[in-house]
Amino acid sequence: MKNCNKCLLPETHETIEFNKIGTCNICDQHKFKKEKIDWQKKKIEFEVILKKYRGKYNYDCIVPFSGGKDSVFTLHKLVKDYNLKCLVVSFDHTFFRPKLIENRKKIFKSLGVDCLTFTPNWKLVQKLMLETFIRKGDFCWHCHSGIFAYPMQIAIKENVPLVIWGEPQAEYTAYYSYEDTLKETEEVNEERFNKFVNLGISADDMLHMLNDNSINKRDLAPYAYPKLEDLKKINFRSICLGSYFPWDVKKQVKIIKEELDWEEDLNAGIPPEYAYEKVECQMQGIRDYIKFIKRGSGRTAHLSAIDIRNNRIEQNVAQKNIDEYDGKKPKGLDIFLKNIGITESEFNEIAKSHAVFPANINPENLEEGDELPDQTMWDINAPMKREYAQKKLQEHGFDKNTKNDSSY
Amino acid sequence: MALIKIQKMIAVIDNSYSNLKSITNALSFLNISHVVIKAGDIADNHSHLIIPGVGNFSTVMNDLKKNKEDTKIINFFKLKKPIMGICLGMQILSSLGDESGPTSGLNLIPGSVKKMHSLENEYLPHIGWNSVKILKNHPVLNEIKNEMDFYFVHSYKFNLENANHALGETFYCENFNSIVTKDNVIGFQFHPEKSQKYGLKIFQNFCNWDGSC
Amino acid sequence: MLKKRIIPVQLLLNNRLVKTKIFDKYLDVGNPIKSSKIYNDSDADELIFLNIERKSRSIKPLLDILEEVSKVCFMPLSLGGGIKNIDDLKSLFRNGADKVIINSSVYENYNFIKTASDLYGKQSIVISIDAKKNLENKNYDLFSECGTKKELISLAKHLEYCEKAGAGEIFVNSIDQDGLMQGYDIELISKVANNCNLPIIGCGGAGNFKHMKDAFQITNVNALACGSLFNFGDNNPIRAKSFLQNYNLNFKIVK
Repeated sequence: MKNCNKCLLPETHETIEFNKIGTCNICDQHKFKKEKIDWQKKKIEFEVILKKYRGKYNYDCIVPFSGGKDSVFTLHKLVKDYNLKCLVVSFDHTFFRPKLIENRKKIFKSLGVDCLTFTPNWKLVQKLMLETFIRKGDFCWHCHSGIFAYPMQIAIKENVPLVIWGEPQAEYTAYYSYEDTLKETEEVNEERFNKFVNLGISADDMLHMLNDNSINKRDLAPYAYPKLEDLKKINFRSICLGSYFPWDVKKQVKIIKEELDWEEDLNAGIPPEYAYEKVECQMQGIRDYIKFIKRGSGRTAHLSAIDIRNNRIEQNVAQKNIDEYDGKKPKGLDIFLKNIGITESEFNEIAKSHAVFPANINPENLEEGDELPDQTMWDINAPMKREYAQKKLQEHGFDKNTKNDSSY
Repeated sequence: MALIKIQKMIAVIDNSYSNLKSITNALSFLNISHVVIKAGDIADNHSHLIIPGVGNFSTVMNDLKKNKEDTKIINFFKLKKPIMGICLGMQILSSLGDESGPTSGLNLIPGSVKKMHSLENEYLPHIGWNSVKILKNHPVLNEIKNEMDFYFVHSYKFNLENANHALGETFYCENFNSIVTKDNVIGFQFHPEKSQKYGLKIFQNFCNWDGSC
Repeated sequence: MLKKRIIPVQLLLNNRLVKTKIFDKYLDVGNPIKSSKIYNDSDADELIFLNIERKSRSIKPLLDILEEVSKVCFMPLSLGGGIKNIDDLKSLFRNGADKVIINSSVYENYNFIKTASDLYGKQSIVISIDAKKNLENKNYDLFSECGTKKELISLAKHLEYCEKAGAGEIFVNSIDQDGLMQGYDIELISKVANNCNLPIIGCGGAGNFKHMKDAFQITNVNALACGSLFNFGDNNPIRAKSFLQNYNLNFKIVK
């Protein structure tokens, strides 16, 4: 396995490319961010955009929001520093953690904002999770698609054309670089949606992939990216705050803790010093576990890479963290399995089938991690019907181990 | 004093064998007004001309000459309005092509079109994405980075009489001119309408070009 | 320098995209137009559409989607499956096809290639070959009609005739490896490469990036096509290329 000699990310990390001296393109992007962008100028550009939309619509902008550190920082900046009238739009992926829900309430009250939260049909969410886990080794299609498509639908419905997101992709991958930031060619639009957000599957694709007569086009509407012509009609603009202000997660967390009493909440499989990361989702640990099986590299490696680039951690300390925390089976796995109706051995088989060369992880050999303190509060109602899952597994050829297994 | 604004209307020449749809789709995508016409119907209100081309040099030139449509294009050139030739459309801008026997071209950019020489593991036609070395600045290449890749599909190349008319160079079997230009004419050996983001940028730049450089 | 190409293959059946295993067992993989747009946005080098309707062989399913697809895709589109005559070619080219892919019709009449090539240029004529290993004599048997009819001509001879008649590219597809995601049939692709002097697109069996790396490095083909790889893996052309770039395989740069 090749690794970046600076940030340690492996060749299995999406879009990573190594230069002649063995450093990766994401590290190079970071250098560009620090050295080649006049952030004062970018700030002014941002303010020019705001001027164009401020006061002209029912809301100055839409802020897609979860309650995690990035969207909280974004909302805080727009309300406090820029006094914008924001419409907060949340797509509830159905796995909000209890502390996150408290944080959201606290922040909405503290900042004083109108919010819309959409919670999709759980029964469909279950089917979508199973379908995309099998096809793509990633069960979060409903979340990726909903989070990025739904606010754009609201923009059209409510006629609020300016949508302001948080972090730019260039912080983590090379789908867009900081050069795109400089030239304003990273916009949060359908092209970006198709490049990496929706796993290459649109709502129209998904409709027939599900192969389920009880589901029709209306059911997938929340996941459908609106037509470009409809967005153009409202003169839409969909941008990342991080394209105009240099993104610095640690500084930003400090601000929102102090000003809003935002509380961190340690998630599975990462060192305690990263308790501000990925607070939102109960299923995060399973997501990162699958990532480890597929890519031989987990969330700790990802977070360490960011800290190495920002000179906040030494490589040997990062490596120690990675060895200690990445690759542990989360205690919440059982809940996930019941949510989509499969056994652990089926889960392992599917996850392994998505391994990215040269990763070669055997999940049977991995240790289990600790249970998260809030796990007992996670909702476990309405598990998936086993027959449905079995039928799906059979459809995709994963049914060798499930012949007469009606329990899980 | 009132300023007369010239409405942009891009005329795309239909020379029967080309894949026009891709070009008109690109222009539609960019919201640029355009019309598809036979060269014989070039009119005063056409601000820019695009000459696509797929097929055979002799066949296309002979078709144009048959109804004196070639003179219409040459007159458009004399009016100093911008002309873009794509692939075979670029090649017919030359003085002479020898694809099915020697045939004279439009002679807007002096040079001749000859078959490329294939090598042992480099076959003809030249098909695929290849990089273009940009030799100098030009309004139509605004914001196009050097050594970006574009889509080529051809077996013939444009040999220029005057090296100053070379704008872009590419290597396949040999160095050849991938972009040529003279006055208000510009020709691309590759297909901008098939070259995604940068191809679309070329169309946008061309349609904003007034023909001067 | 000419870059390598990665070409997603989209199989059309009943107005949807499907994926097969060994030319059998269909699974829905999406809406043709939406899927094509996604490939356009994820920097695919070209797109191939193959109509695999077996009940009636005509180009109508291709024409049904071609117009909409060509509005959202600004890279080369190659279409095939059911092409019978020059009129079919005319319709496809007029409606947005850049290249046509011909298989069955060629076996009956190699002259078709010559006529097509003379009219539309060699570069727009792709000959598709579906092949299966013959376990007895270790040669490859060629099949037409969506893999149902065995042709008697040898691979080498067929390639010779196609090249002589004016084919521009060869698309070679392994029936054995189709959809299994266990790697390309390297032997088949190499055999084709050794028996003709045309650009080759290898297809059938890609399951992960290593398969592509091996096929590119061992056979030295210019292009590889894949169906399952992008439909049943958390993969897209951007990621494939980044990975392969780290092994010194060069792809188009459009950033």
